[in-house]
Amino acid sequence: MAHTLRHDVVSATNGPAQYQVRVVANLCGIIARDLAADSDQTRRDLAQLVGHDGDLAALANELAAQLTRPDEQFEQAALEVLLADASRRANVAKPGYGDA
Amino acid sequence: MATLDPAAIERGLSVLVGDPVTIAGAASLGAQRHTLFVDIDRPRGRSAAVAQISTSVVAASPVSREADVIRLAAAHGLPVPTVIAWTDELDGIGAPAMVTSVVDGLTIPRQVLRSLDQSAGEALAAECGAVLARLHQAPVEGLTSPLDRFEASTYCDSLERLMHELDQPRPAVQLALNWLRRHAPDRARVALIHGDFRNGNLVVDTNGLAGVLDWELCQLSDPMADPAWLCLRTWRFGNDDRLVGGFGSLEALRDGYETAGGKWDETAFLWWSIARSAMWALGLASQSAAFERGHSDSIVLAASGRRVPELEYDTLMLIKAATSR
Repeated sequence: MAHTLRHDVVSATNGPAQYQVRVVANLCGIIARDLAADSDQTRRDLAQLVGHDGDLAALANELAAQLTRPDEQFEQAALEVLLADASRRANVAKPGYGDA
Repeated sequence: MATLDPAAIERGLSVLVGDPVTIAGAASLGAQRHTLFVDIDRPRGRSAAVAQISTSVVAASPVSREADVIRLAAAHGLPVPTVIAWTDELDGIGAPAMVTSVVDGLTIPRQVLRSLDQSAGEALAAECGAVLARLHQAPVEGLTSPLDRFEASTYCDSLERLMHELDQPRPAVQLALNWLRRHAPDRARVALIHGDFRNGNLVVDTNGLAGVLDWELCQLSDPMADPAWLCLRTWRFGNDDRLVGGFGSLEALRDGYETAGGKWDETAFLWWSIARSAMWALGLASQSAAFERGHSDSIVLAASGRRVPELEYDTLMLIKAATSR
């Protein structure tokens, strides 16, 4: 989809429509990378951090709630987990971004 | 033009400037505002101008304030467009609008970056430093419109408020907020700042910085917030080895700032780099939330959500570097 939009549709459009096609082509690439990415690593890391298993949304909620009570030592551990997660998600949106 | 009717805009702008206005083209159709090239048919002849019309569904600030600050900046020798006319409610449209002179040069970030070799990029960074130092020394007593004021603690408060409004867990931003509150600079400095001084709002020609655009986010805050924002990775457009907007070095920016009389504060610069980065993560998240909640059908707003992880990553990397210093 991304290839078709980028190579066939972009050249057939101009102005604001062409810009929007580029945005949509980029989104298609992101969706493809998202589907291929390992989304379970963050869930496993979060489970270890908060001390029990659960689904990703519940664990993220719990971590956010836990972080509202400032604790520098816990935040150090959380920083590494959140950094690894942000790196993975940034690389889905823009390959290589989360490696620098 | 996804949401605004060109004929209605032309009618509204004609009422505003008092002479017939026609749209010549679109400079940019952004998430916050449309920027249009227009022609004004004056009795003495046709003149080119730029019209900006707010399309924001996220936040709109009064354009009267922006016009006021641009006049003050011009009086202090900053390169800015001349304000021709403005209104907080464009006739027939209802949105804030401003008409200014055209500043010739490049504004599209990637074109700007392609046009600069290393020495031109360094010179531009130094010039940015000098312009910011002059702005930060401008007396605000001459302004007639009240400005928002953000010191470190109030900035943290607004960050927290925005995070809660989004109603989605953002542990990375919560962690940043904790760090920011713990390390807030204790000696508050406040100056008139641009608020959105970055690659994309700078007009660059062969002589360097020809103009500074988009003053809608001007406010009273720590002067280091401006260079911190300019140096965010997001504005480097892939040129990550050049910290300042993807074109220059931090040393050049800092030298330019200090040579023009500005006082550089490294601790505050780092604090505001993290604060601004965290805020922009939320800014992008709220743009995509506006799409998800049906407040806008702009695909550009929807796509903003996919850039949130980049900003969260940048924010956490800055905190990690600050923690290991």
